[in-house]
Amino acid sequence: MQNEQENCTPPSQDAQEALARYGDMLFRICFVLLRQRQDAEDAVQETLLRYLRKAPRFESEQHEKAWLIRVATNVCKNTLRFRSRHETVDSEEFADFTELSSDDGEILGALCSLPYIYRVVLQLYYVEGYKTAEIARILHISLSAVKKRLEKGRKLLKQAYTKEDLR
Amino acid sequence: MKKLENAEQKLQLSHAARVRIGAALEAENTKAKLNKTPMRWVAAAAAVVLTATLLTTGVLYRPAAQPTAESTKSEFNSAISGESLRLCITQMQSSGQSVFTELKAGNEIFVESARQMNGNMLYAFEALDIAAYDCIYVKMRGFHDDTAPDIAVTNSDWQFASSDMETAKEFGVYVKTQDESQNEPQEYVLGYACDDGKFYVTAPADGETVVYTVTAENETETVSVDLRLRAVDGKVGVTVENEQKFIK
Repeated sequence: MQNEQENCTPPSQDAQEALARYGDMLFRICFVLLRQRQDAEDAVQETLLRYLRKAPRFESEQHEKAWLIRVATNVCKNTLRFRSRHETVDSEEFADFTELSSDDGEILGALCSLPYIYRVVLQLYYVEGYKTAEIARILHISLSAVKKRLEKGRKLLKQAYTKEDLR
Repeated sequence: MKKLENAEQKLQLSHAARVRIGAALEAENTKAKLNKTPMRWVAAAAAVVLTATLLTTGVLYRPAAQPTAESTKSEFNSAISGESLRLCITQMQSSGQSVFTELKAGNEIFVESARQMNGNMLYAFEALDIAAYDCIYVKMRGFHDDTAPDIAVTNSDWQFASSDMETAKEFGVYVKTQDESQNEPQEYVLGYACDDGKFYVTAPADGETVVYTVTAENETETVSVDLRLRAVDGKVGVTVENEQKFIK
């Protein structure tokens, strides 16, 4: 997924183009972290508004993508922090996969049931295709922390997902 | 994990959400363009007023005076020694004036006003005598659940720079975390070259206590103090304690 052609692709011209390019990717990440569609959509919006306001300069598409992911995870953390300090309905009630097939919903439900730190590295590694060193840079954690979280996350996901075949 | 990848590919932004987000971006863009010219004039006028105020109140020069419990910042700046790490809490009055209350060891002060940001209530602190140090760290102790610390750094313009690490890097701050594989308690450090010594922390939930360690360093010494925030009955009590100093 991280091939030379992608590295040469220039970054987006503006936030609208970033929405078109990365909207779904950001939504996937935010949905897995927040487990709620409306909050995830709000988080995507907030991420792109920050992109617009800060107008950062990117060397490449990869740089831009990593920046957006980083901002999105921070926005999600702020939302989770807000939830923990204010009474809300349990967000797990809103993890809604009715639009998906039962198989897809089951595995996504298993992922969403894991603690935050494992969800985010599993998401970036298996779904977005980032290497461990890249994940460490994006999340600003050590490489060994990424590896340990992947290892533990896989085990927890397997436990949470009742079916045997995950591959 | 192919199943996971395949399942996730079906998660997409709805058309309605795309339209809404696109409209929000357009509105923000338009607002920025409309505000651009007038804001330059407002900013220029504000700079003139601020400079005049700072000259009048003596902030831009440092008169010799003993700091009192509640005072303007100019009186604190009079004793720059680097021998201790003095902290003050800053609160905004309804008049728009900032009030600085120095925190004394063992003396708990209950704070009134907080600043709301991203749904969190933040308390603003400032490390005094900051000119004596090269950098300052704010660290939350006993932190185990690995979300980002509720600490924000500022730049010298008093703007809330957010806990976005990319933004933090622009302002010369960095984050250092302990290696999880060492099985030690998680500690998060935010540090920055001390331009202004200001930082914000989130108040704990009611009934909880949070301790931050604020550390300042220069070439010859490291000095730290613990900042304890205790939330009780809807108020937050702030204390400093355990000041330590190490000669390098």
